[in-house]
Amino acid sequence: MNIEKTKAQMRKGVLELCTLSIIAEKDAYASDIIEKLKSSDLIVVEGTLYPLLTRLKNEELLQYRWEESSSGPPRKYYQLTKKGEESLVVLKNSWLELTAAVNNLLFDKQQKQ
Amino acid sequence: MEKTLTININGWVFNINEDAYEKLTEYFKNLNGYFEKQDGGDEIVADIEARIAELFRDLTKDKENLVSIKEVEEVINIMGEPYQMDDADDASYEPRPDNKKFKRKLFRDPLNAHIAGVASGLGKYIKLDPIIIRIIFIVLIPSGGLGIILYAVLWILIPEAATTSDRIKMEGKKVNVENIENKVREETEYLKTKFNDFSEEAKDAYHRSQPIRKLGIQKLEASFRVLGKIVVRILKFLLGLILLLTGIGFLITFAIFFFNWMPSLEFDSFFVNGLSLPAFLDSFILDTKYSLIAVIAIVILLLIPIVMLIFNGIRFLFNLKRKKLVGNIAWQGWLVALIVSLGLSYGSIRSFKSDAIQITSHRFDQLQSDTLSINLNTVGYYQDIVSSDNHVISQDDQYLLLQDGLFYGVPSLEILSTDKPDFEMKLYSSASGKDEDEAYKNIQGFDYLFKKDSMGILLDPYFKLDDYSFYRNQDLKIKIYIPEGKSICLDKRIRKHFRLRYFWKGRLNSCKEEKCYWTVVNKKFMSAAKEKLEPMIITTDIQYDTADMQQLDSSRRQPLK
Repeated sequence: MNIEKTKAQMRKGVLELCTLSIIAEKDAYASDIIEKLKSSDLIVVEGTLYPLLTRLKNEELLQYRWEESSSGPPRKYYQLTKKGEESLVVLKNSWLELTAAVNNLLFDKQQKQ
Repeated sequence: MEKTLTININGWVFNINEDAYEKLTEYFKNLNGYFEKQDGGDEIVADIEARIAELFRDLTKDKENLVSIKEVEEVINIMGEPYQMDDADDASYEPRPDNKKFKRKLFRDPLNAHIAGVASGLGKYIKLDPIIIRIIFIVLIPSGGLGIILYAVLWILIPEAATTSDRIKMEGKKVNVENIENKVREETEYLKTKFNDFSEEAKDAYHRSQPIRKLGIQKLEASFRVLGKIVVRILKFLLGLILLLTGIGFLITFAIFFFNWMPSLEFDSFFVNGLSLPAFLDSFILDTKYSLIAVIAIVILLLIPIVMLIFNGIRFLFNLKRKKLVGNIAWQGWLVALIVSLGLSYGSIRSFKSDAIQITSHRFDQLQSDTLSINLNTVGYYQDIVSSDNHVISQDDQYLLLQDGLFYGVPSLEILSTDKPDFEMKLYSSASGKDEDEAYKNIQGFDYLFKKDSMGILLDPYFKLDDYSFYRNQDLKIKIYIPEGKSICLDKRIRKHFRLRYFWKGRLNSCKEEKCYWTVVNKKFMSAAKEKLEPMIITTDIQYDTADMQQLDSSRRQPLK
């Protein structure tokens, strides 16, 4: 079993949730999102984010608008749609459930041993 | 030494080393290949491209936007390989094979655009010359404006190839060094035009900031522009007129020669009677089996420039657009005609290579006085030839010649003084051939007839090419030598027939009588009083003294056809 692969898959699983959460906080463009994800060590390669953003947009969880930039070409600023906000709530809840369950499973077991 | 290219990524301009460019292009190619099947794949790649531009900006801030292989590797490292990015659940972690054939995508091509690059982009997509697509659009315009509507719709629907990776996708080319170079060159050109646009904008802004000034300049500019346009139009009109008239002039000349509209034509030292250009070429110039094809090729060779003159004249006159296609076809047709005519008439051209000259000398033993009469034979064998003074040289019974297809040479005549005691006439016959032997043979291919008697000499005004001889630059010079103290008597009509030195032409022109006399005194020709000599009687039954040369060629006189 390739441990790196598993780690990547785990990160990938939560990436969607984290991205939605960052955008929910404040409208953001790709580089902002990357900054935040990187500082939390949630992505290894930046390229990962773009297919995700496009998929979320296609699923109508996100929408974007073009905004002029003082230092270059216009930027895409992402914001959550109503559907996106609803999804974020659902995902946050399921994350809480999941982590609780996993923590319970993992660490209670250790204490028992 | 390293080669540096200029590229435009998402609106930012970078200088990039060649190896770095190759690596980056490869990376984009992989990205395109990987995401093209995915929903919104284009958008993903475009977003990644924008991010890469940003990263390059940060990385090259301190080195004047020069991207080296180091930066490219770093950026690829940051962005990750395509397979690492995949968002799909069943993501494979194996990189896809690289040799996957690259699929073309439909874009508008702004670099080769006439309007919006729809035709050029379509052309690239279906691998067709965009001119054909443009023609289709234009053809469709009269059918209810369909061409325009179709174009507009496609303009809206098809995205523009704005970035390098778009262009690579559009052209679907295999990425190799040569293609990259070409593309970068195109890109540089594009940047240049963009830069010009910017400078136009800057100028515009300058004018806008000074409204009053702008108004004045604009008015001045506008009037200059209008004036310039009118001047250009007038010049074009004049040029068109000149071209058209020249073309028509050439066409008429050509038609005269081609259809033989005039009874006879004189050119250079020759005089052609009843002979059209094709017949002339066929009978007298072209010594080949394929003379018909050669004649057609030569006619086309002459006609194309004339037609193009007229065509371009009309174009300038009516301000029509240049038709590249017509020009190309004409030019290619002309080249083919040139090659064919040169090829087929090569042998004939070569037979002008060597020259030969033959001199025969004639003395006047029967002469009874000190005066040599030089008379013009108006009873030659040249039936119905109208000479330049409209004098019809009468028919001759001895030579019944064909009505058409006559080719006459006009001899030159020179009268000189000599130290020798006797009158002398020398005939210089010359001709060309592919070698000296043939040139000598060709000298025998023409006749010149004259008659000596006790009074002097009777000269024919023309020499004639044998019926089955080709024209090989045959020429005849007659030189008559007059000794010191002796006289000549010249028929005034000579001046209209022979090629004469200006000296003799002038003298004959100023001569008031029908015959004029000159005596050689101190090697100079002095005008002399009319001597009491019996005028020479010209009869129709003259027995010609044939020049010696004609006896030599009796063996050759077999018809060649």
